[in-house]
Amino acid sequence: MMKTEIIGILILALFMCQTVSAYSVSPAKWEVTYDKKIVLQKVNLVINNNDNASISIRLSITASKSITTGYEPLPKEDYSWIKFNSTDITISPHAIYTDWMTIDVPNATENYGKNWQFYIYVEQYAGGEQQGTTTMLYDYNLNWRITTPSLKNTSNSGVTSGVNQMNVPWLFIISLILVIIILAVAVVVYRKEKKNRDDESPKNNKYN
Amino acid sequence: MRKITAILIATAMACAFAPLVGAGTTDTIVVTLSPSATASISVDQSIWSPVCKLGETNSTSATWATITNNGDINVRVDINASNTESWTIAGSAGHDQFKLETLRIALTLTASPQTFIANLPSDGGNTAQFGLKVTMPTTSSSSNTQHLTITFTATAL
Repeated sequence: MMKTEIIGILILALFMCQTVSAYSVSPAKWEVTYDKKIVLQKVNLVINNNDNASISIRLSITASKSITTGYEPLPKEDYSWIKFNSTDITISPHAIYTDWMTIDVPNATENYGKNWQFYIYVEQYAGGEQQGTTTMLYDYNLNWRITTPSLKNTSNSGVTSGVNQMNVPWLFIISLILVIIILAVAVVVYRKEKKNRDDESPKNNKYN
Repeated sequence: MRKITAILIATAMACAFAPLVGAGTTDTIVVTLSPSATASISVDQSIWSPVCKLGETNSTSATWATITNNGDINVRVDINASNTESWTIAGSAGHDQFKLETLRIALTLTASPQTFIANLPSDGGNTAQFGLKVTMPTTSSSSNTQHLTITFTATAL
């Protein structure tokens, strides 16, 4: 049956004055920085439901957008390295939910010296204040970055000069060469000294 | 000459053990400080329930709602609206098509996210006011009350 007028739901107007505090997600921005070697990273996510109703949210990785200069998307946009312990979460009113995720970048040569960026998409797909004809929902794109160490200089110690910046194997090689040279010089000096003594001995005998 | 030989051998020994001494000093502690910021936005209105005839418009005041960045990081806010049970959101009203606009921050909403606020700071001017305006379909195949959702997406900058 067609009606030319959409009848109202005036009673729901009562809800119009209430304040919605929604929910918060932390960390919203994170920089995963490795020391010398690429290892498994485990990070906690904290979601705080400030609403008077339960909320249901879903975690996923978004396609790369708004990439910062100097960064690039993960190789082939493959996000299999990033795993959430749970992806669909329902949080009770005024409850705090803590979960963890892992970033498992393969420890391969091609993954060193990289600056990657990706977004974690937190989608509120259900819950919250649902009464009325129009409902406000909130989603978040969390800005995450990964910086892997350089292969040439795996130490990020900040030392700008001196022997400590050199790798230990190189120190051994250089020291070994020095030892061989010094020992060779020592042997030459010793032989020369011995020869001099031998040369001098017959003369002494002659005079004797 | 024996002294010289002894000094050379001692130097050689020192060179041999030098890397071992150096190896103990190459370990360092890397301190990486990452901003563990919190993302949080909210709108002080949760529901809008206008009552209007087909083909007409209805609107709130231009400052009806306030969106606030409650987190501690600047965010870009995108906005999109869903279709209703029977109507499709569109750029103009029509049969089973309605138009939804934001006022003050003038934008015609679509089903896909659009940039609503390019940078909503986390402190100092961390709020923005806006209103809503709906243009009802010219004709409708349904007389039921229609519901839609407006989604705000905050992207950490």
